[in-house]
Amino acid sequence: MKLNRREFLALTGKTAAGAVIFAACGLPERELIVQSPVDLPEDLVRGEDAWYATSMGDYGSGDGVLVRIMQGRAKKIEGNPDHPVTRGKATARFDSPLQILYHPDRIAEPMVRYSKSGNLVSTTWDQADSRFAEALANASGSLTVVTNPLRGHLGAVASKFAAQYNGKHMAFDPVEQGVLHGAVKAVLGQDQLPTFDIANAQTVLSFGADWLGTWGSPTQFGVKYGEFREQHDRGYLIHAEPRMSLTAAAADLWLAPVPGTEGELALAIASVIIEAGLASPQNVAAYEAAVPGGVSRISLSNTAAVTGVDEHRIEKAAKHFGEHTPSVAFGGGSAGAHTNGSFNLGAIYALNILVGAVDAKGGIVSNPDSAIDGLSASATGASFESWEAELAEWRAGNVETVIIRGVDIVHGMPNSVVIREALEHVPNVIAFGAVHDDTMDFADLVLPEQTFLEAWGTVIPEPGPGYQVVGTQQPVVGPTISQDESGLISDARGFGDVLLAMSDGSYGSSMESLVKGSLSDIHATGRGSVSASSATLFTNGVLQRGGWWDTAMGGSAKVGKISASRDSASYSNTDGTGDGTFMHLVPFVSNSLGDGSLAAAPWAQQTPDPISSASWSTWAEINSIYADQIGIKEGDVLLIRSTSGEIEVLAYPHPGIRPGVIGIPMGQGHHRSGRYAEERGSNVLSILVDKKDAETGALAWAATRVTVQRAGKRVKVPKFEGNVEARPVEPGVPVLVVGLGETAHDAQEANHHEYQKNFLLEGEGDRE
Amino acid sequence: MLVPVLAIGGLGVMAVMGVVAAFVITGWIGQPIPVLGFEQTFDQPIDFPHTVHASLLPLDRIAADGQKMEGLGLDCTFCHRTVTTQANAGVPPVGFCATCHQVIGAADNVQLSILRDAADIIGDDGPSPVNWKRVHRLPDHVRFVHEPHIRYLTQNPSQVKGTTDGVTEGAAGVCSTCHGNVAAMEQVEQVESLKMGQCVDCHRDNGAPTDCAACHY
Repeated sequence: MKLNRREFLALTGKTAAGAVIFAACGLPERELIVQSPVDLPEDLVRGEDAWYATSMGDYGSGDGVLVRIMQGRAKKIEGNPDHPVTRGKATARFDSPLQILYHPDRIAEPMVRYSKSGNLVSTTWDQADSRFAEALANASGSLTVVTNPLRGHLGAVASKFAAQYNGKHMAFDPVEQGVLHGAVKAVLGQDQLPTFDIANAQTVLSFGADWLGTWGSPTQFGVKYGEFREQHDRGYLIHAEPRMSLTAAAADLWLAPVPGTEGELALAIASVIIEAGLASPQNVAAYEAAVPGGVSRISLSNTAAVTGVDEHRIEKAAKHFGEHTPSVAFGGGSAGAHTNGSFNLGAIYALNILVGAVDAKGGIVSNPDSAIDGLSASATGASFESWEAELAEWRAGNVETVIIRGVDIVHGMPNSVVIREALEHVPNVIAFGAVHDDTMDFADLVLPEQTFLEAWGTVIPEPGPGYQVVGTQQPVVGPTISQDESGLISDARGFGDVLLAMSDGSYGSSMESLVKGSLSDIHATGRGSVSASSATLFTNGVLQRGGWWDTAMGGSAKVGKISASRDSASYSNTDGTGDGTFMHLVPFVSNSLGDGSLAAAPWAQQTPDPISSASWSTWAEINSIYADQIGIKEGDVLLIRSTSGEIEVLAYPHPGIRPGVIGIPMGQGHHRSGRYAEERGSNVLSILVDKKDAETGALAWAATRVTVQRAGKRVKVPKFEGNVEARPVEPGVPVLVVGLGETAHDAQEANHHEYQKNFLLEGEGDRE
Repeated sequence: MLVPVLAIGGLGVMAVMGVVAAFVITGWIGQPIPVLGFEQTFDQPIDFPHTVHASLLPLDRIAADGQKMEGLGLDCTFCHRTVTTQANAGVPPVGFCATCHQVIGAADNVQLSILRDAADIIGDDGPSPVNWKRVHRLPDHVRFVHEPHIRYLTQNPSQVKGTTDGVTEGAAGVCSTCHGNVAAMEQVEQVESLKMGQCVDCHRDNGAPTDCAACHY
């Protein structure tokens, strides 16, 4: 048979169409498979959910959670009602780790880079283990293990592993808390961060710390805040911060001081209290002993000039704080992120001495040591000064092997330390993680790491609730089969288990055995929230409850004094940063992305910021009147330049920020962080300058001054605000007026009827 | 002259063949003819005989001791434990099979060896699941919940269609309505069409809802 070209093409087309039709009629093989597991765990029964208690080892301050599992898959993370920190409540960040667990870009298998300029290629765990062992062979005395701040067995394993090779374990926290730890140690004599009895306080005075949103233990504080507002007179919250955070928005009185003057403001408040005789002589004496130089030379007018806060508002805050006791004062966040950060926080925490709030009801509540020997109840990142010294060693080629987990140091470090160059000079960079991050671009070995939902561990919350707590972390899901059933979505292993397998075995064989061993030790003490006849039953009981705690084991403070000198804050200069308006940069932790560790999760990306309602982007908060004056409108693309670099952000003028200050959220600007976060927004951490707290050497991340210039283009800010017309529930009755002797219900009824009457009469009038 | 006639004739043949092909394809999609490998059954990872487990009758099988076998007469719900309470009937875990078969059955039985290996009773490759192949599968846009069907038919035995060689009392006696005489099957196959027409007919006959959302939700 002879075919011409046209017939050939027609036949080809028909054959292809036929193949498609017949292929489409078939069923995919995997849809016909019903897996019969060996044992049927309770979470594999169809239609029945199982809730497992565990702790958030990462992405939080040790929150105890319950995870809902359906047929082996984690569906929901809620607060654990039994856990003393979360007490059944959750934050906007709780569910996002589920999307890290099931991320489509989750690292599936180990990857190795054979030369620094080469690409990462997939490998087996056996080969990865060999590469790991090679990296350790010459690493004695030149090994650094880098993690996020860890309190629990994982931190202990990392430290012991580093010590085995005469190396260092350094924690990195982009939002350094070292100043806070230092101030608490100096003023209150505590190694652990205290908690605050907000629920029983009449007045809460906070500085810089967005404790309802992102600072400290927001879940714990949020529960207490609810109880605080349930009091007879709803309590009184005073918050001092240059920008309106979630906490400032909830405050009864918001003070917006010049960044870095929070310590001066605290001294002025103390001065007013002392002058007004609102503190007992003993407390005044104790306060003056704790504050070198006292407050005798403080002038309210001078303080008002320095801090930019009106004299009367300072006085009002001070009198409320002194009169309506119990009162508690605390601070952190941007208040401590200055060159005088230690002084600022010292002055703030010393206010508690003045009102007798240390270890008192409604005041500061000290936290005890850890219940487990060898585990620290406190952890913080190494100081920026230490990091500069360490990175200098890396650049000099003095460090053979660096192991990194839990932190993206390339994203988190300012440009000034030239982290990329430092990593290029380390022969062996081994990075653990669930989703590829910026640091892994410089790793020679990338190892898929289990999330906290898949691994064993313990977590000691910081701040704790005022007594000993050991939160347990257990695998609540097993390895997940990939959608095409060709293998696992990630052949991940726990960081601790990998280190233990590489260790000499002297400090444990697996994380599970370490956790169970420690629980057995606790059982032997016979105290705490779980009692059982055997260690096995005790362990099961603790795991079922998500942890163990002993309310009888509290901590106590030992009042000391402020160790830092009373210096004014110094800020970076803006020399050579070009044309534009000079402003003070105050970065802030994103309510949903944190410092960027949750950026890979689309739920975190799409959660609107509680103040601006913006999401999926990096915006800059500028005072609206100030913005008008310098000609900036919403959506203007702004070039933010410091001596450390330049970023682009979208302008968001609004009234809730001090004029001259520009607030930019952290968390975006990743080059690598999974498909949802890559090349999205800008990384404000990169343009911070290398100013440090004089006392601790911590990065003064709120001491950067920048030049702000319009880039000449405009992009719509992705936000909810303004998309729907704001209107009262009942038009015409926007305000409820309550008369003397009238209840709210009566007033509501009266107003309602008044409105209805007017409305109906108007209607009748129209008809007539 | 001849060429156009042939062309028209060819088109006609094509059209007739198209109609026939459409008919055959529709037939296959609706209820495939059990020939040429289109039977509604699969070879399973283990040749599990429902006859031995579910039937009450003497079987055409010889046991390891040389005796003629009789069915055990297990109730369907003995293994399919969730059928009376949940949407799906449930496939028993391997460990459940192994509770009997770590003792019962010849040590050299090839099929039981696969089961014992999966349950980690023999072998050293650890426990592993058994991937059974689903025989009765409804499309994804249909929600079928076993529980109300079993309950209704148990309460109204006159509506039960089909017969079984197995237990006829209680929930086990009603399964044959949709699944046929499984107790007589060496290898389970689908005997009813389980198409929408069959569902609607039965719902109509029994006064059950026939609105779309009853199954498509």
